[in-house]
Amino acid sequence: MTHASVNSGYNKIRLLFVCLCLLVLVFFFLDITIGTISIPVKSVFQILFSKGTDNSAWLYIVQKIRLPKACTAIIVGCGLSVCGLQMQTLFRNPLADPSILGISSGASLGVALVMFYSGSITSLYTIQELGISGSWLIIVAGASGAAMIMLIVIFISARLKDNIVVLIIGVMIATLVTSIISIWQYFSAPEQIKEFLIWTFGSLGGVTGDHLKVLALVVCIGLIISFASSKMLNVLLLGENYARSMGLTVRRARFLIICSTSILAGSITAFCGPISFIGLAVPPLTRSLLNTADHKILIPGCCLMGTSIMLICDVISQITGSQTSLPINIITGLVGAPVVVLIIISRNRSRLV
Amino acid sequence: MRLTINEPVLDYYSEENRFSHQKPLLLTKNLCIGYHGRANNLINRVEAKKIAGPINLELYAGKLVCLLGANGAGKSTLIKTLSGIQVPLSGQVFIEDKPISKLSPQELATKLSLVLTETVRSWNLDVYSLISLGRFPYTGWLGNLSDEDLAIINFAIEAVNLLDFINRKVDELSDGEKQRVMLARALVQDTGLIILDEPTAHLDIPNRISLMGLLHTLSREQHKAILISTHELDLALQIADEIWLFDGNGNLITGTPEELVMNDHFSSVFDKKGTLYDKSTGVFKMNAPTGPVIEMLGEGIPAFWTRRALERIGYRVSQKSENQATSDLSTVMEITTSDVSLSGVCIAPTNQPEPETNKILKVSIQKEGGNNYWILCRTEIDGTVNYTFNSINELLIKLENSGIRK
Repeated sequence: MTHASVNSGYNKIRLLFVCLCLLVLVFFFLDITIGTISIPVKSVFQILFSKGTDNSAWLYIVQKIRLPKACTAIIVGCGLSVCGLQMQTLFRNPLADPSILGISSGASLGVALVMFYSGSITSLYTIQELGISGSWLIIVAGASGAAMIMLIVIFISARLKDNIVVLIIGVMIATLVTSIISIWQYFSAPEQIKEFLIWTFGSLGGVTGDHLKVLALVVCIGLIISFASSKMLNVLLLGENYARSMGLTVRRARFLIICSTSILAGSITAFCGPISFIGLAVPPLTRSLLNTADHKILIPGCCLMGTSIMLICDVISQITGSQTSLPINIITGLVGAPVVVLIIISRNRSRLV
Repeated sequence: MRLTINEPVLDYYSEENRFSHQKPLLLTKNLCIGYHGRANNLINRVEAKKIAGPINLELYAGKLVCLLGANGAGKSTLIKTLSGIQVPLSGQVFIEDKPISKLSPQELATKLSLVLTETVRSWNLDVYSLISLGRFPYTGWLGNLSDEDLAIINFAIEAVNLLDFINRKVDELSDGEKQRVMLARALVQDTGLIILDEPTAHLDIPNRISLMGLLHTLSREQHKAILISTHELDLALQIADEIWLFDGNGNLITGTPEELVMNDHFSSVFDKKGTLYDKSTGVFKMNAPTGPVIEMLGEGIPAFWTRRALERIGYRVSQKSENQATSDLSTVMEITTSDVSLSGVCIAPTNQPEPETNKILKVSIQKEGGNNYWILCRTEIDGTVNYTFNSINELLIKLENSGIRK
């Protein structure tokens, strides 16, 4: 009975994974096909699979703009949702998320500092200007900024038992960091402020060529670390005291999880701006879809789910009817917030029954 | 009193001898427990505070030990120190002959498992997965389970009787079921020693009894050493092989439950203003009665509860065995017109010369007929009058109205 039920559970999960993969594929092509400039579906497929097309503008748009953007969407979707999952388990709080706990703000601060010292301002343009060494610099700055905030939050959370209080403190730290950035903004020229504001809206479009490769590499490393710590994450579900009594070296586990979270959130925020709600909304969705708490299944599940949602958000941002596409953060907020509200309501209801 | 030692008792002691040749799974040497001094904030410092010690303990396989003590006496601190969460002030804890400070978390997890008071709330975790997490110290870096692991998990599920629950989510379980799941997880951890910190704290009485019974069975059948910190004095006295009792002055008294009761350790620790440990009945009483004395004759369930009722309203009841009451019983039986035969309690006159107690000369009899209590009462306040009562309540009302109560 035990084995049978466990096996049937695995079969169901396998089926769901296949469905999610198909969904990702469909959204990926949809994302490449739909854009502000309409290109026939047939031509898009020709460009993708045989590179034969007469229109060099279309070739450029698909290969240099849409394809990298869709790839960035995949990277961001994987990275941020796994980030959120890890933080929710570590803090034992379903509302933990890189943007809420100030991790994204920390990354912004790191990026802003680098830009400040290099005499320029954080913008997609300057990132591209800095070249490949610049992209590493920004990743290191973003990740260490994120790690710094995460360490502060962890340090405080170790002294406080109440997770809600930790969350409030995270929000306060985020506010503090945002204020520091604001001070610096206040003394900047108006056009620089505009560029920074655009960066905070989030964008998937600015990562191309070598930057994309660097970002993909770093996010892959982060994902591998977090998958390797899935056993630790599983046992942390029972809380730190139980985890310790079951043989987990809690300090080492925390360090690993902070590392991968900072790498993921820091690098993605550095390149794409603080993208909200993905880390918050994807993990609960994945948990209720796959109906499991096993991180070995949840981490790949979150990757697929996060990718689908990120791609669909990008598609929505482009079919607004106008010639320009909307910033991605507006769409993730529009999609993510109702999802979170729905999850909280349904969970409350099920607890009452 | 004549003490007969028959064969099973001898067997028990020989088993005891066998244990004494074994090595203890848990051993402490001059252990002092308490809080270390630390900086509370920038200005103030919390001074180091010793709670108890020096403590020398031994815990053997197959033994169930209950750790008792008043609130704040040091139960949690001892549990934390023994399980390696807290560092002792001085002295050492040895787990299977190795000092606990020398064991890595993983090694320790294969020798000692814990069940804590904190409740587990985690989204979507089902019972089977939670129990299998107990294999954490034995599995590889991804936590995949071998056939041996699966066999141990299934065994634990059956031992704790959770087969019907394995597909349920942990959040859907009641507190009692959760504790059983956490216990199964501890069994899966496959350690010689299991420490439980107030496992019955959130449970109702039937669940408390069944959990304690389960632990008792496990210590016998699985040959585990089990240490329970608890407030359940009654249950602890019934099932523990040994009691570790904090006396509130930093000493830990150890011994079999019966020894501790008979040597007055129990009453010295737990007697406070308004509470009294009654050695003869083994229960705690809220207030020592101070009213008139009633002599009660008889035994059995009705006698027990009649006594409780009389004590509750303030009488000092002194119980006599039935032989002493024979004459009274016969007297009362003559009076009885009921066609049921009489046996049970007789509340007889007291010989004490205090005026109040002299008011009552004979309060009397009680018996069980069908579902009713029949209580016959004869008093000499109104001359020799016999009353028949159908319930304890009627007796109490009569006593109250007759002005016998102080």
